Amino acid sequence: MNLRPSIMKRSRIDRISWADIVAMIVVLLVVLVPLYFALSSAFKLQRDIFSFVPRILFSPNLRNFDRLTTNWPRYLGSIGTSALVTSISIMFMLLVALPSAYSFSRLPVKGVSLISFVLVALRMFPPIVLTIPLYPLFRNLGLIDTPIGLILLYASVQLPLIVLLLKAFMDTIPRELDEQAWIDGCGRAESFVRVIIPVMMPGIVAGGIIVGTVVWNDFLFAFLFTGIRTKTAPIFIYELLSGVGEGALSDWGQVFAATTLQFVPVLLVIWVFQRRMVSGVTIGAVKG
Amino acid sequence: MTLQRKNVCFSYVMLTPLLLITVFVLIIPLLSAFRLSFFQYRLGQVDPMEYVGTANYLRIFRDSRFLAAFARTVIFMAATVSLQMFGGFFVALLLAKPFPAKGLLIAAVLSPMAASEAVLAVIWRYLLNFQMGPVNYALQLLGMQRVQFLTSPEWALWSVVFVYSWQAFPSVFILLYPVRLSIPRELYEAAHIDGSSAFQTLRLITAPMMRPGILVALVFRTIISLRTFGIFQTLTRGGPGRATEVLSIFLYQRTFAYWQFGAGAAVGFIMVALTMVLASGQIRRMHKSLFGREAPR
Repeated sequence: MNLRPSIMKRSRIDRISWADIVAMIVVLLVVLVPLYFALSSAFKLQRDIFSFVPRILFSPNLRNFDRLTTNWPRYLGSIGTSALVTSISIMFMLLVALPSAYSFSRLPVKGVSLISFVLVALRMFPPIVLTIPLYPLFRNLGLIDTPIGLILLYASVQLPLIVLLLKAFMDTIPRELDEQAWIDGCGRAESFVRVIIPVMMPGIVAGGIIVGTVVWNDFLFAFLFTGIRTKTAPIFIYELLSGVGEGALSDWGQVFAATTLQFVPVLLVIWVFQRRMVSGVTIGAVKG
Repeated sequence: MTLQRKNVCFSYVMLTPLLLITVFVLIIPLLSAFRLSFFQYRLGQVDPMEYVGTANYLRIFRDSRFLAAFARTVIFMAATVSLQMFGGFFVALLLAKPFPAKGLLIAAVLSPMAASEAVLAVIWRYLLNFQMGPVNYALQLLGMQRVQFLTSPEWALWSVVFVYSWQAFPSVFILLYPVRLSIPRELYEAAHIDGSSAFQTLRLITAPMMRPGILVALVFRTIISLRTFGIFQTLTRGGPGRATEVLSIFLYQRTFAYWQFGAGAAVGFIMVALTMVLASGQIRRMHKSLFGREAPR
């Protein structure tokens, strides 16, 4: 007797209406159609990219990639630069952020509340302001147009975000876990490395992806602080795009090929780790 | 050494790298930028910097080009934040319903987040192209006039608003979706039994329960829209004319085209001040929720 109405209630709440389905289709079209055009154009012939009637179906080929690597052999180098800068930045950030997150979470020292307040405030300020004092300084130190200069910039600017994220994540790990290890004769440092770090892996992955995406995609710092030698992929694409005109005769094919190589890796990472990312952002809601 | 002191020492050692980097690469440069905003300084000048007091600020506030950039920034922020918030909120509510293959749907919705500003510019400069772009083709099919989306002063700012919102609404979704899921379903069941309409449920249950999350998203998206630089530089470079010259583009040109670092720093600090005013409540709330209590035992 009691069960039936409750099942009916559930089914009513859990029902998807036609309006929901239509809305979902519209959302998917808005999101996916531009992406389809962008990615498919990399595999189209020039005349199909700018055909009068947009081509949905076409026979894919790799000619644009061939032309890109022939005409712009340095593009692959700039993808390499991006990969190098991104991976070292992530490692450097974690190396600095994990110990400090531990200190915040487990052994708050005197003055922690001031330090953490400054950190939360620094997480909010606009990074573009930093370029003004740092440009002359980096020029004097010879750090302009070097990977080290870029890595230092990225790691510093993203540090408040990743520290707060890891701290919030560490707070969700029960203290008994590391304190037990500590009492059992492990030192503090050992319990940090052997107990905390392995349990933190989901948080480390989420944080690494969030800041890694920012670094891999960054325009601002790479645009202002690099030249020919350390050009990252987004800057290279920007310059390719500036080179093509608005007209139909311009060579958009190789621009789309370059775009695909820069974009698809991040897209795959976000698709594979979407659950991690949602939870990573939720914990402490520190992402922006 | 007692255990207590040993722990304190250990804690400071763990904090040291963070403190060094924060002080030397963030705090000191920020303070020196603030100081710079009271000086006249061109990069490469041989003479020492000249102290000019508040002259940089006064000149900026009388500069009609700055005032126009400021107004444009406010319009841009209001428009894009509304669009992003509406889109993210709408999709969060939609995806809370029991769709099949939800993982795939969420992955699809998050996709625009993966696009860098350079990639966005390529995609949308192609799609919005005046002569051959698919969007203009669709408009023509519908019997409408072709539009110079990125190359006419009337449309350019709105086109950037749209492109940026397209990329940013998943960031709102990703914040609001878990908040929506955290609302106990008993509330919805009760509302259903009481015969509440969909709109009443939204107004009396969903919206109030999601208010704190919405506030967080609103503050973050507002301060991030304020500083947006890359999408303007890659799509329009502030043009055509000055139709999309916002504060960040104005700052960039003062600083890196005219090499007026003092004036650039003044613009920068106006942006910092705005950010801090908008975010001060958020900073306090976030600090309290992160550091107000100890880790759970």
